[in-house]
Amino acid sequence: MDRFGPKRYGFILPAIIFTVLFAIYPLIYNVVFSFQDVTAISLIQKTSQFIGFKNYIDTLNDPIFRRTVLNTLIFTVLSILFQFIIGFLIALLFNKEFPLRDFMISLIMLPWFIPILVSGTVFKLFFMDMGLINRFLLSLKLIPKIVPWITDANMAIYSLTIANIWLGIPFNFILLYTGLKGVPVELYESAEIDGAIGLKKTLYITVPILKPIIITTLLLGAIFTIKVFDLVWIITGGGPGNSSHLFSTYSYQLAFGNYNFGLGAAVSVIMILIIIVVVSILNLIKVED
Amino acid sequence: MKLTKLIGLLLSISLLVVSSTVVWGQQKTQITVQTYWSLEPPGGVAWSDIIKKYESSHPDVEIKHYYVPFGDLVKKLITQALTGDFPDVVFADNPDVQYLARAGAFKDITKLVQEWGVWKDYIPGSQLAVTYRGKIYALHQSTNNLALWYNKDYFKQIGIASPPETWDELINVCQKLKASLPKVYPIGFSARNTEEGTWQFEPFLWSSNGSLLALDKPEAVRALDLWTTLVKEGYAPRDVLNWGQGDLTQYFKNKQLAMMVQGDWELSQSGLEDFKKNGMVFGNNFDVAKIPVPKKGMKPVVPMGGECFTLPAKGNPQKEKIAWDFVKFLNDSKNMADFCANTGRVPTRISAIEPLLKDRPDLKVFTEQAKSAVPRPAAGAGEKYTDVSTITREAIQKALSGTLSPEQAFKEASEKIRKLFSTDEEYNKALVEARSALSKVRK
Repeated sequence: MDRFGPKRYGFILPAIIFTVLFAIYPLIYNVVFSFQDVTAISLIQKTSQFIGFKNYIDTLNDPIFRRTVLNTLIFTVLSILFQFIIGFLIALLFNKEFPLRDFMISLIMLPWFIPILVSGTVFKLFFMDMGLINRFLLSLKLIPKIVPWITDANMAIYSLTIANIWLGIPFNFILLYTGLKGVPVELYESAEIDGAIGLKKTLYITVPILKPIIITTLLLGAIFTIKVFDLVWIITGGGPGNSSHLFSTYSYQLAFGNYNFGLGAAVSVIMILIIIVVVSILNLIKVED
Repeated sequence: MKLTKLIGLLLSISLLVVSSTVVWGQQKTQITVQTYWSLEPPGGVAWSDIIKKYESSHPDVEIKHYYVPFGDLVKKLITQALTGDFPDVVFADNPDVQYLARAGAFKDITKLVQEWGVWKDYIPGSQLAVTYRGKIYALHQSTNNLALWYNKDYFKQIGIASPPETWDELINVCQKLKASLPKVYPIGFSARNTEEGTWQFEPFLWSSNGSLLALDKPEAVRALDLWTTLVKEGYAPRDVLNWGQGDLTQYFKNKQLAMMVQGDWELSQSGLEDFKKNGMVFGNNFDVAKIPVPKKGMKPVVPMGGECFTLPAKGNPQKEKIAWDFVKFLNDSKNMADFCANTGRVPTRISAIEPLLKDRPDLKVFTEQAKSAVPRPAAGAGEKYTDVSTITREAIQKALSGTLSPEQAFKEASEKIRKLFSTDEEYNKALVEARSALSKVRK
């Protein structure tokens, strides 16, 4: 048998075919679209024209798109930051033995099991002007008047971020929790003998050992958060006044709301480029380690 | 050895399956229909009944229904147009007909319609909705529109005898309702960032003589001003920005809204039952009235709702004749009246309106308004309507959320809409078309 001969490619052929058909081909098709004037009509009549960078120029000049970039930034950074901190704190807490721990863990995981269609709708009911949060805060006299959580153009994106943080905690928690389980207890014991207590143990033992897991968590978190779609679509639909769009929802609205596939493709190509950049940066940190 | 055996077995099974369908095919011709109407009871009873009725009068035909969710239908038709693989009978919401005709998804059925000879029986709006560049591309099977629904009990409580007819009266009623019923919002409508938002605003825009293509004109701005006032004064919750029409019905049923802008499809037989379960009987506890107009003597003009059936651009020629027969059957005056009576819709054929009203006098407001209803593309730049609608509702949302004043929001929107046209000539042509569509139905 020749281990290094051309035969060995036979083994990876299925994987290559699959990737080309289902990942690379649509991706290239999408890039081609983004340089064309594609609408539903031109698509069917096969009259799409090559228009160079016009879709990209139009997109960059579009105030809604600029707002979308800002929104995606706010949404992603705040989501990852808080999901991670809260998830990490809960993981630390659950790393200690206490009764009913396993049951509580399954409760923590609950948001992950609920379809986003359901949790999104519930959040919409919570955040409404006549919704639960406003009624609760009003009855406790914590707010003087109704807070327009999702009906104010400036606030909507922050309310969506809160909802997304809640949704993302289980994911961060479970990755970090399994990581913590792998830290040898002896390390803490010897550190205690050397006089390390509380926060010091976490900062100087747990965090360095968990570093690869932390980076993986942040990496996956970034990818998941940048492409969030359903939550925003259900709660605000990108409104009010297109003030709470993310790349995904705006690209969808352009492509499937207005049937302007060219513009929608341009937005999604920009989104993919940004994801590639973010992932590369995080990977670089990981490799350096 | 084993592999060949397995392949042999699989082959014989598939042959068996194929041959059995061939045998079936000889007995019955299968006609495929694609809609976003469910066949499930209680809502889908009328639709499944009409299919069964056709099958029992045509024993050699089997109707196979494919359900597609509302939001996916146009996408599906576009994909089908790309592959040329259509069902035998296609269906679309009326504002999408012109676009799909232009895209080449629908067949030009002008000749077939002329041969049938009932074209003149369709109400003007329905004729407009299915016509593109002088050719007929579909038949409008039923229509619906929006009216003002009001809770009669609440109106009695504050001593108001009749529903508001003008905008001043509307504001006045809201003021009184708010003063005496602090836990109830006087009115609800949908200003969501979907077509629903534009569709709900159009009755106010058009009744005020405004046009989607001239939003910066005072007639248009005053309509947005009315909506903004309703929200600003707290007569409608700001939640209207995220409410769909389904939400409105829920809050109205729960008596959290005293009035709402809502369509007649909620008056289906099963819908009426639902209202009853909540202690609301039509005519006793709640009623409908025409959309309020800016000043006395003006006529409410509402957008035209409802779905159309037609033949696909590339159908199966052997089945086309039966498919067309089924489309005619659905558009038959009697069948139309029955279907509308059950689903709370309005017939598009004049000859079906009287029989319906005998059955369902409660639909009178909607049948009256249907006569002057306008199909949205006809009054909003035809195939550019989806873009016009997107821009319009963005402006509505900006005004209602307080981001911009109504004047500013509509000024911005009208500039954006103007940019959809490459030349002044093109824009002026669309403007004139929209004006003539509106004046046509106003007569």
